[in-house]
Amino acid sequence: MTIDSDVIRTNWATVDPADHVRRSAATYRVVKDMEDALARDDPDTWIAHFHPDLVWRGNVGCGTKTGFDAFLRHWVDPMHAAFTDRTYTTERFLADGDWAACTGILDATHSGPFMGIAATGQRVRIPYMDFWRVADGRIADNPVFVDFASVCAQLGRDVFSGEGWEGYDSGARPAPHL
Amino acid sequence: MTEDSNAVRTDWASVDPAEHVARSAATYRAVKDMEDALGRAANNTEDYFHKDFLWRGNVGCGLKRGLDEFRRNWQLPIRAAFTDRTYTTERFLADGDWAGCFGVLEGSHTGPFMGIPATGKRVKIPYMDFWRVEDGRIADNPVYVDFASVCAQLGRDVFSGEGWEDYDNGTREAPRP
Repeated sequence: MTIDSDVIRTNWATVDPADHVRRSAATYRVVKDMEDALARDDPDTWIAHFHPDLVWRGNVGCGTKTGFDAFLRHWVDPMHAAFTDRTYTTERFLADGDWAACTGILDATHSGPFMGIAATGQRVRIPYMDFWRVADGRIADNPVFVDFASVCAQLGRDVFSGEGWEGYDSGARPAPHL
Repeated sequence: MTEDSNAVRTDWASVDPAEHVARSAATYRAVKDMEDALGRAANNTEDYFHKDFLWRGNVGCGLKRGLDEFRRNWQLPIRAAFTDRTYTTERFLADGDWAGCFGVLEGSHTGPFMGIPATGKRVKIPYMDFWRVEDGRIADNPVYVDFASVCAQLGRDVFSGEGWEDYDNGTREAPRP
């Protein structure tokens, strides 16, 4: 286990509790205000919650958006083109100092082409995880995971061509062991 | 934005700071001890996980109901496909009974993976984990492991040229609403 001491607080004994809770609450507030602005379709307020040089670091299939403009043009626009009537449900939200994280589901209607699949009008559930680092009241770093393979599966395409490890869970295939 | 009030702490003013930090530190410790044990490939996983914990993975990884399934259908297949494993945590958060992290598992591809025979190549396997700790052991574990990235590193594009990386590099124009 390699651990960069800057990224993991190993010595919780040195944490000032009041200061820690105050910073965590402030981080929560920034992300929550951003999410609320997104939900009520208030782009000006929403934009104000990001640094212009934001880095949105997605999993394979989603890409990396370097800067807020790239995030807007290469993530938000195509998402809105493919999926409409979007509702976000946060399953769990964490805040720890300058960082926050959540796991949640975006429910939406597949009303534009997605990964080459023509609009079906079907409702889909798009699971995601987000981590955010807040600096000076705005989001500066945003590692994220969006389950496009799940969306493809809901639209009838198995991107793993029958090799998904769900086959071990269902008993369809024996799990390999050394 | 729909929110389960149990899932999101909206009222930070009511949090007792000393108690919050003590709980977060205990959660950190429980997860860290588990990670250290798994890093050593220890087999005493019942010391770190509830027997009926849920490992809830993204599509391609599956859902493991309980420690036995986690071991048989996740841990052992990972060890069969990837050896000389090192874990690097990029960021770790703890908030009360929950923790979360993202990091990278590096391993050598020494067994078949997704139908791809062993290549011996070193691969980076990015992941995100959330954990809920109850009575000192992990009870719930929503997780994402980027198997699509591993396939890409082994020469297979599971998204068949439709990945949104093409919007980033200008290969294809991003659609607009």
